[in-house]
Amino acid sequence: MPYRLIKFAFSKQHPEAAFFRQPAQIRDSYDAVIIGGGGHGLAAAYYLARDHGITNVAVLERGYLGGGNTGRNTTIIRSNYLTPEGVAFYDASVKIWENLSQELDLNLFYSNRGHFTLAHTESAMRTMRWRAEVNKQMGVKSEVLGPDDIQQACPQIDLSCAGHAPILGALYHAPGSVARHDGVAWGYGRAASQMGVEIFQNTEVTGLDIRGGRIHGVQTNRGNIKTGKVLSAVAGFTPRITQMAGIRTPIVIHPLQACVTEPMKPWLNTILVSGSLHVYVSQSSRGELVMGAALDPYELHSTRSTLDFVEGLSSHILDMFPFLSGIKVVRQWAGMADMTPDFAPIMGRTPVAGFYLDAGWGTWGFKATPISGKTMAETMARDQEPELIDAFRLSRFREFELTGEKGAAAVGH
Amino acid sequence: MSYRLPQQSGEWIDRNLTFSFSFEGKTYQACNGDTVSSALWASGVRVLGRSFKYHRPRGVLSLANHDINVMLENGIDINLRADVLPVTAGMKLDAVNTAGGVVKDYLSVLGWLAPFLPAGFYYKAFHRPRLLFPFWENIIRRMAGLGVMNPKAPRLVSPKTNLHCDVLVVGGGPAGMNAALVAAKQGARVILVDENARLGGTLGYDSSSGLGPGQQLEQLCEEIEAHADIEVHLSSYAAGYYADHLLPLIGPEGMAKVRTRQLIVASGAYEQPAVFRNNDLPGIMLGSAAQRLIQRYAVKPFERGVVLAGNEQAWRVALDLLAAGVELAAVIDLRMDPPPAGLIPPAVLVYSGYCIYEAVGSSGLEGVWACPWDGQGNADQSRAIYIPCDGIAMSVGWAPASALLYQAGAKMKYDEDCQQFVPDSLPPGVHAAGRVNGIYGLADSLADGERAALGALGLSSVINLLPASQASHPWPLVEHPKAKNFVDFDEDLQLKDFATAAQEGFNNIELMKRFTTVGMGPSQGKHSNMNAIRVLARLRDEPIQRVGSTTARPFFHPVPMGHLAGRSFHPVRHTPLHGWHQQHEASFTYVGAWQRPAWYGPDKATAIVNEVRAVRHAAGLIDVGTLGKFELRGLEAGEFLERFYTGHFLQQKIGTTRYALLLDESGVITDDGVVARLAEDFYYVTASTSNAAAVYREMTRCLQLWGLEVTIVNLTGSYAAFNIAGPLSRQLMEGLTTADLKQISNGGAIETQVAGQQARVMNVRFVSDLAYEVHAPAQSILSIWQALVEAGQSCGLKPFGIDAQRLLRLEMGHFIVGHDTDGLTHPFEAGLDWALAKDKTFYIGQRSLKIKANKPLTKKLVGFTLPHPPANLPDECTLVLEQGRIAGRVTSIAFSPTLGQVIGLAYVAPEAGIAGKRFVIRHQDGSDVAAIVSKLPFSGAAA
Amino acid sequence: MSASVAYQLPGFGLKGQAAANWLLEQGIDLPQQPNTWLTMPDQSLVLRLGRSEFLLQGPVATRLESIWQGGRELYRVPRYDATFELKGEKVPALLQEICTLDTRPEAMAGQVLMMLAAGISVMLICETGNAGPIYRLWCDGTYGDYLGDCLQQILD
Repeated sequence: MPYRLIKFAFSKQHPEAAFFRQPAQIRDSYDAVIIGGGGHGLAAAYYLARDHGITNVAVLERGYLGGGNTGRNTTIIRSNYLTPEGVAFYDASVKIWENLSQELDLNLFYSNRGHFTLAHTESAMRTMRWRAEVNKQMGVKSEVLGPDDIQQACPQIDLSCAGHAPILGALYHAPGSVARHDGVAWGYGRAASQMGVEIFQNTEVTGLDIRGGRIHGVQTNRGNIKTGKVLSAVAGFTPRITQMAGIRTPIVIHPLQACVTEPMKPWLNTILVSGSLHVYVSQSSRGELVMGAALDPYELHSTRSTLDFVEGLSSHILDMFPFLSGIKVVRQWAGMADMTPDFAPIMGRTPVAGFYLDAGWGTWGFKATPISGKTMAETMARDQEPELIDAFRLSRFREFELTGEKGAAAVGH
Repeated sequence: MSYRLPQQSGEWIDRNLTFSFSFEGKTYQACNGDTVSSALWASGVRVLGRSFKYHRPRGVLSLANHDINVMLENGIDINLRADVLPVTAGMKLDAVNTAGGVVKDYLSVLGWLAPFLPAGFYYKAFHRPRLLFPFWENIIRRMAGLGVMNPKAPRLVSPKTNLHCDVLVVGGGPAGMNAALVAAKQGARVILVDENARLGGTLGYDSSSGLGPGQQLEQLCEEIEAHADIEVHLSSYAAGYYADHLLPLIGPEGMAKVRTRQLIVASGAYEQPAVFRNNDLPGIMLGSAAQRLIQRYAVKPFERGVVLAGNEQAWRVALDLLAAGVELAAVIDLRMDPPPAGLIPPAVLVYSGYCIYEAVGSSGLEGVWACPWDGQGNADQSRAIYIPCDGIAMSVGWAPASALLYQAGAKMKYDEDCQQFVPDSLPPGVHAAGRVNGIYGLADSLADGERAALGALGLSSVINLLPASQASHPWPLVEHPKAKNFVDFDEDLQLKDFATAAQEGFNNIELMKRFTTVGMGPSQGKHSNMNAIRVLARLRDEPIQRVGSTTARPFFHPVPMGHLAGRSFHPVRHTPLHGWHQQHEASFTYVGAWQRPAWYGPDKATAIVNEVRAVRHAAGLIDVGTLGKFELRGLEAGEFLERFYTGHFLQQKIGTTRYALLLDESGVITDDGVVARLAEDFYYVTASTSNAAAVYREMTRCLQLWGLEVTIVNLTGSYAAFNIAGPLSRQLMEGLTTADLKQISNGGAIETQVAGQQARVMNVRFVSDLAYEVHAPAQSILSIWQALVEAGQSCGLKPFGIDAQRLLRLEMGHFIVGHDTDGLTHPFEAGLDWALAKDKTFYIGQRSLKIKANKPLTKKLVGFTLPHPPANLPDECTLVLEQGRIAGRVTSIAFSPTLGQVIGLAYVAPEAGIAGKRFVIRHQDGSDVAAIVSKLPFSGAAA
Repeated sequence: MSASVAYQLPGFGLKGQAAANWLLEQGIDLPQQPNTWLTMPDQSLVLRLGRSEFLLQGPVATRLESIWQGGRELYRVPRYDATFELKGEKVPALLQEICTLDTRPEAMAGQVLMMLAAGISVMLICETGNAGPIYRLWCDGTYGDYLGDCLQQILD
């Protein structure tokens, strides 16, 4: 029962306190500085405070809270990945998501819809089988379904895709969900704030103070800060920060675009992804269809939109749902995806002591928000990565120990 | 009762052509040229829609598609914009998102719940207890959303078109029209686009005299029409700006993509509402909406009304209302100073320094409370006066329609005198003119259009206009303790919602937007963003310039997906033998864009068994024309291959073939194929069908990097090929060629004639121990194929498809890249050590392999059989488990008719990969299946 | 309007650093710039597809075929094109739909456009004559069925 709403009616002043503690002054030192005020950075701040008692923390955000990829993604949460280490990681995230609204006392609209990855070729069906089996082995609910089951879950879909790419089956992942992306940043930000973390927007890091292979502070457009622990959680801006740190990564930045339609009454109750058609779609609780496709196939540090993205996407969506030709796209936008060669993140320590990296989130970062925050907080507090993220260490590239996620992450958010 | 006025001089309706349509079950009359809103308003209908959140009754606000007060559905299409939708005979329309119709919408009780539902309320509730959230979410989802999607709506195909011009002028008001004319007169090819049904813009309804548009408009229209080099697109809008001046124009029929050399944005400005309690009652509209109702559609906006004045346009609105026979009860002027004499008849009551504090009415306006105010939002209620009326025309200000400019990279600045954002810097090729540029007034707009056109053509002009003074009122908002003073009509956002958001920390423009959802509805802030910015600036005590605005993104108006998709092309590729396959009952499958025969005949299972048997006991023919095929010619062709692939090619003997394994830089297998050396400086290379394009791309990339003397000719499309395989294959081939095939046994290659045609013949052993691959120009492959078919008729030669091929190669123990290998497989895992030349100084991936060679192997690819296969075989990609851990997976598996047992390939732990050892496959049904590692090739296979 | 498909038009392709000189030696007029074309007196078409790649069609193609020997930096490019001849009043609209480049005759004078149309790679030239512009469209022969169907559908 939404009792909380009652107080809004009966209070003359609006009864809610500010979400974020935004002091006017940045102090000149903190125990830890987090670069990036998106979901990952704020979650890390929260868990640093909650799990490790480290509250003397500053979160520095160059723009507005959650204005990076946290505010641009298409909000799909799932754990149906290909590798055991990936599945374990994202499953841990899903388990946190399931109770996160309650934990943060903010309704994140975490909505369990079920997630279909459609297969249009036998080769794709084999990959679905592979993922399903690994998922089952790891205790995650995924299975391979045939066309009839798909039709039942989504009666409106044209299984033949206009005759061009008939759907042979799908990987069905029951835990697949969506959530309100901005809300996650706000929720973690508020909770971290309540524990003493200070958040500074419009504050850009301009340099890192590194001496003797160790971090000593950060330089910002509002002054310098001394600190012994710095976390970079800036997604598409990662190369700029790693350059400041003198750290090499294989990250390349590609634009990732998305768009949204006018709101309609609910009709699509599941999340659909098609690898062959390179599209994915879900319906938000506001009634809009939220749609995306593959990365732009070239490197570019920009969030510009292109016409061919929305043309190609519409064409493919109409192959699956021919009755949508009159439905209108309202807005399109883009984020910058920090891609890695093995479609898995880069998490943990770096060659610079005290400098920690949470990056390489490509097209798979939003769903990992809670678990990335938790594990990076632990990494920072103990100066040691928890086993759960060992597979994502930066050194794996040099060691030729890449993870094998390419099959699951590409066009499947 | 009818609100239709007598003939207006510039009216858009045709009174001689009338018809009926229905709205909410009732029938009404319309004239041709009416929009749905104008026809309904003319018929006296006032409640035209219900608002999104509180389901409040709504009428016309902008009449310009800058709000969604009137959003309808007709059973097929949803979210139709009544303000601009032309009426056609027989239309059946309903308002969206009501329960029980627009008049008696039961959900209007939500209006009573408004105090419980402030901005962001849904973040604060419904999540405890957790298990009840799905219940609440279901309700929220059903309440949200506008129209009901119709799953039976037909797929409409609206073909696109591509246009090119020298100058694209967006906006057909006075500035745009003149810009188009000036540019065309200078010889430019011009496209002029306007979202209305006719040109004219404000000149069409906001004239200075209250007597209609007048001659000036007619003259401009005639000149434009007469000009051969101006192409006019009406009822169309530029949906967005994309790099290099690409702008899609969306019209009723579809999308026209315009690539222009120069862009002139003369898109005008959106009139802004004033904010006061109940400012959304039907009857309360923008001044320009009232003017358009009168001038275009000859509709009297209301009987007795009030003009809320904040700028000089208000006086013209007042005059237009008077001329239309409206009883003008008063002009409520937000500004403190009384108006100059002569602007308005002395009989009209003007209250200077007053605001509208509250509008009164239930399903329509009945009266207003006007109070003196301080110009800052605070009204002195003690001196309130009540004015009965059924209409308010709000004329308080404008916000520029500058989305295209922002998207093009323009920087805007807030002009405090004009009280509007105007362009501060524009990127090359982009120009602004008219109201979007802060220029108001007919003469100035025309001049500004001329300046922009000359600038676009690189010509100088002396015209240098400054933004108009006081075009908008700086603060047309009035506080009220009981709220319901709306800022965003799409989202039902009230003034206090912004204070709430700011108080809760969402006090920059982007966070405020996301928390309150201002500007996130279908109108995307056209009528609300400016007021939101004003409010935020005040909350932060900062100038508007510092507050900025949210990112402008396409689209200007929402665009139907059918227009975006256009005709939807799905390329399909055929080999020259396709017709033959069709005639012989092939069942096709797609491999990328190629259509390939999967099997021949009506029944898949029997077809495959028969095809396999034919290859094992007689001979089979398979079309492999889809393979990548490349000629590498030149003195350093061998050197190129030596670096590109892992094997030896420099010393390859002429007339031989070699296996070609391709790795990427990290040592991962990306493709394999065959290299035939046909001459000293001539190699013929094949690549797999799926990777052909990627291999060619990589070859050309390396060509540029290495600078070797080699030329690559891509014959993937211009050459065709087939395999003939089986014990009878040699004798069948011998019958058609003079070449000595024994010479090329053991992997040889030769250029010769087959069935009288030039061809390249290679001895390959993919599906059978005895097989030949014949490559020939596409034009001649059919005759060679047919000759073989005929020759083989008597001895059981059959065509076979890729399903049989997959089984045959499995029997041979051969792997397929991309099927038995994945994105990480390296040669050591696939048992391809032998394909890696040990003594080369370089090949792609070599360095990585050196590193990998020092790491322990984690899995290896082996053959296996199932001693006791279940009826339902394990799928490919089921897992190999060892003590509960994943040790590998099955990559290929099938029942072999030739060997009479189930065979397959799988990755297993290296120590388990010894012939005779057992391992466990986890069946997809959860059971365990025992498997035995087998040597490759499987014994009993081969031909 | 007509859109006729012909797979058998004699087309002679060649490439290599020595290609330009060899063609000149055979008395063939060459366009100067990459991606331009010209007509020879005997109505043969000479298309320059890059700095050193050429496609010739018509009588000269047959002649070159018969004397071809090849040599260093002089290589044959076997061709299997589906070619379409497009003329008539419906053609401009057709091209405007499937091509994003400017296909007006005045914009295309002497140009060989190599681009995507209807989702595949094509080449397009425009011959201007007394009876109006004639467009010639080439695509890889393996896409010929598809493009032919496509063009027909749009023209209908």
